[in-house]
Amino acid sequence: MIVSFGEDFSKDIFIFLKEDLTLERFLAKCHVRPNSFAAKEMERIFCCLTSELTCLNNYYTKFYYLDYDDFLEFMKKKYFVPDSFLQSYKDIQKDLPDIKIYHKSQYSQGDYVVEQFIFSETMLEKIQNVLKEIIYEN
Amino acid sequence: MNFNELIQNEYFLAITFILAIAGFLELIFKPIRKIVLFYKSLKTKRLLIDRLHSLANERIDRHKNNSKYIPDTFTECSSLKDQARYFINPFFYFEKIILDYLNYDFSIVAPEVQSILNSKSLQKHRKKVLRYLNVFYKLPTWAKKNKITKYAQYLEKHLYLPYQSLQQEKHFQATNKINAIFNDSKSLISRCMLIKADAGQGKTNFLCDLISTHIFPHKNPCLFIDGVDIRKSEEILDLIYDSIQDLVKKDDVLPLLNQLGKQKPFIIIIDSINETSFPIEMLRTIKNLLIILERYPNIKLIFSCRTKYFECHYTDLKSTHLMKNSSILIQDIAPKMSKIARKYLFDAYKTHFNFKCAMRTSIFDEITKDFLLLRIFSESYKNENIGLVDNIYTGELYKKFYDSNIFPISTHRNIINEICRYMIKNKIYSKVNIDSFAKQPNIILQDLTNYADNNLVIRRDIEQKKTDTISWESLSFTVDDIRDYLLSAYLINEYLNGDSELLSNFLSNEINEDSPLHEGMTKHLFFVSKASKNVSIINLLSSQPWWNNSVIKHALSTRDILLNSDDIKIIHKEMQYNDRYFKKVIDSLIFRIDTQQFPFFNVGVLNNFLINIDEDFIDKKFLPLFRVWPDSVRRHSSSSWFPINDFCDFFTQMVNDTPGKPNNFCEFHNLLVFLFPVNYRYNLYEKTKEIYINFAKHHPFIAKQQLINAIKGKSRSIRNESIKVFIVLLNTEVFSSLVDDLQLLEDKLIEIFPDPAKLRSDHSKMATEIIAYLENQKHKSEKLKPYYETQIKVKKEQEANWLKIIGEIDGNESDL
Repeated sequence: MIVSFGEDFSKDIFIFLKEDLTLERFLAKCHVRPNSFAAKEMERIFCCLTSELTCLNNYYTKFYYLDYDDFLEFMKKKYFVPDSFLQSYKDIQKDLPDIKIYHKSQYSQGDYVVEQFIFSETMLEKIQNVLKEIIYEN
Repeated sequence: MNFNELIQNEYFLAITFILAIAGFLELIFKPIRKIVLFYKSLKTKRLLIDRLHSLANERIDRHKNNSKYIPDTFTECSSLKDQARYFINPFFYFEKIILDYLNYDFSIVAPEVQSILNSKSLQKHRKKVLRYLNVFYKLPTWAKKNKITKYAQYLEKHLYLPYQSLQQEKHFQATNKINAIFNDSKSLISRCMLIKADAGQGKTNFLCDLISTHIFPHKNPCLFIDGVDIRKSEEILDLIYDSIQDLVKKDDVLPLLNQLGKQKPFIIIIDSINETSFPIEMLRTIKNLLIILERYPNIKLIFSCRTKYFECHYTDLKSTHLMKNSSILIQDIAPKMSKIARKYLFDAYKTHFNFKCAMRTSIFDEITKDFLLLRIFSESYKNENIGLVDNIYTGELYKKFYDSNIFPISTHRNIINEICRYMIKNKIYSKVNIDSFAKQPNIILQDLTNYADNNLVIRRDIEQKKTDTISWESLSFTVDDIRDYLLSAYLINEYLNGDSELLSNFLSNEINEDSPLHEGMTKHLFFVSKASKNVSIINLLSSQPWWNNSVIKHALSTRDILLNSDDIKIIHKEMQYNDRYFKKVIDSLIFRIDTQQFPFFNVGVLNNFLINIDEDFIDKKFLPLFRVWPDSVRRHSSSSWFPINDFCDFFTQMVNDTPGKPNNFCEFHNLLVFLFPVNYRYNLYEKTKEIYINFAKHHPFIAKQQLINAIKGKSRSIRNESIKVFIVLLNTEVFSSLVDDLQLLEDKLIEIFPDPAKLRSDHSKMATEIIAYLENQKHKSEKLKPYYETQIKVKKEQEANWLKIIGEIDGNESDL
């Protein structure tokens, strides 16, 4: 799932993902035929979406555990995420403990065209559904 | 004596035996002594670290008390804090920096930088960098430092410098990333960090936050000193020694600090070196320290200074080896904040100053985009529940701030009064030479400089002409708006205390169109005089040529209870001729809907204006401001028109929410009457009328009066629409019993339908209803006779038509 609190939705985004997400699994969930045009497009989307992502859970446990009392405080003070988001993360984590939050900085820049495509109204909804399906798999 | 005799000599044997025993004991006790010494030094080290930490804590508490440090308010909107983290704990963050570097994606870069950032060379760099990381954790401390230095040098040589040397225009995205990689690696190896920023940017707040949230949790040994604490002709080492002299000898201080910083660097932090009164001595002290520190590689230095002061007094520091070769410079410590960061900051202020409030987005933006305003607001409303903040009344805010933060402390009050007096007397309104106050009997210069460095209202600065080497210190108000308020308050206070000449002279000499004080002073003189409620001063100022302009400009940011009917007249007049102002007033009044909260200057003022305005104005200037906003279009608060659909929803909600409550919002519903004609333009069907009728059912007396007023109004379209609603309401039980002004209905009927013969037209339903109503009420009038007759005629014709139709239908049925 993709969440953003910035003025521009495509910048400074947080994504709920499983650590072991692979391109193959993503394509399988997209229901595209291998080597088709759609598969290539979805591959570009996957690469753009996952490019320059940092796993905040890992960063916290490795580098920021002394600076902030807990992960939620880290999220709140370093990324200013609102309490409602933290609550929803807590709720998701109860059911799916292996879900991690990834962050794409507003300064991370990549394939602009694909980025625009991802964050178009209709496409975003579809990608959200695919990511949701992957998260709730098994 | 030969050897044999010697060894047989008993003295010799005894001495040898004693020596052997001593040697044996030495052999046993040496390691024990070493262990004891080790534990002793360990204990000393721990004691030392604890002592220094508690000293730092004391200083942080001091900054908390004078509100220079507000916990949790440093917002990490840039990489500044991370850079400081890398600087303080390079071993701990080395892996992070490498992971960040490996995470950067350079696959999409402009062709012009492909020579440097092609996949082959990047792959090579990455392999090399990974190799640094793989061995890093197995290395001893000294080798780790070496490895980090090599990593930084490698990146600089193979990535940063080649990229910088590109002649053609660099690729924007890649440049950001390359700079980030280089700055991060530079932070790791630097020994000195200089924070340069202007007054009020948050240097102390940042340093205190860094110590509390990073240095303490990481247990870095550190020393935190304020520039003002360093006395004249005193070395920093003396200052350190003073606080730990019972633990360590003077000569051992630096070696011991260096020893302490072996695992984690020892950090010396000197805040605000500009706050000292002896800049020349301070320069020498810091320079000496920088030279000495070259010999102690485990000690790092962070110091902060105001930009102007640094450029004026401390540029010589740049010549030292450490500053030249191993330093990082931080200049932008208050970057632009996103909305969520501002929300976080505002919540932190609310928690710290313990105040509660709610506000509109535009007010929130205004207050959180200006740190000084936010700070003044927070300090003024400390421990209060403000409720809804509908506007930032700056005059009122400054008054509250003055009353709560300046007035109670006589030294501060005297300082502000003296500065105002000096400015008015000498006609110098900024950059007053601080030495001018040296001979003032009411002020101690040291108090003045201390206050200037620790308050929100005035600031000390350094001034130097470009061509001149001599510098002098000046005193100014932090912002002109606060200065103008305080000067106005001072002048009016003096007037009330009997010195009327001072104000009169000031008005005649200083307040003119060309004066830079004109705008601010007229604003605050208007506010302060209104707040004083003193008739003579209001009379004096209202005779000034700028008064009307002040009313027009500042009435919207003045509490409505301070305004009077004369002010409303001025506002109404301006609304009529100034379209932008008209829109601005609507923008403000449309939110002043609660007549209990805004008893005087509320939406009713707008209604009164609209009643007396002609049709043309309503049609061309008022109604076009209300439009239907499609759901798919994103809204901007700065839009020049209001979404009527949102308004209707809000009105509906208001009617449903407050059916039995007092009539606080009736003036707001009255506004609906002026929006009746909007229906035809934007196909909102009869929505505004429906909402109003619903309202009228709950408040029939008020609705009747509002409609009658509208029917008597100047605008034809509003009159017509109001009559229609009136007629509809007549048929409801609650409303009909209230209507007694039948003459009004008659007049309006004749006015709208002057020719009774035309009542047959399709649009005469309304007239038919009025006539029927007047007939029922047995209202007799000569003028109405033709109308009654036409009505009867029309009815008869209609009946005949119906009979004819029915007859035809019957005939058709019988045929069947």
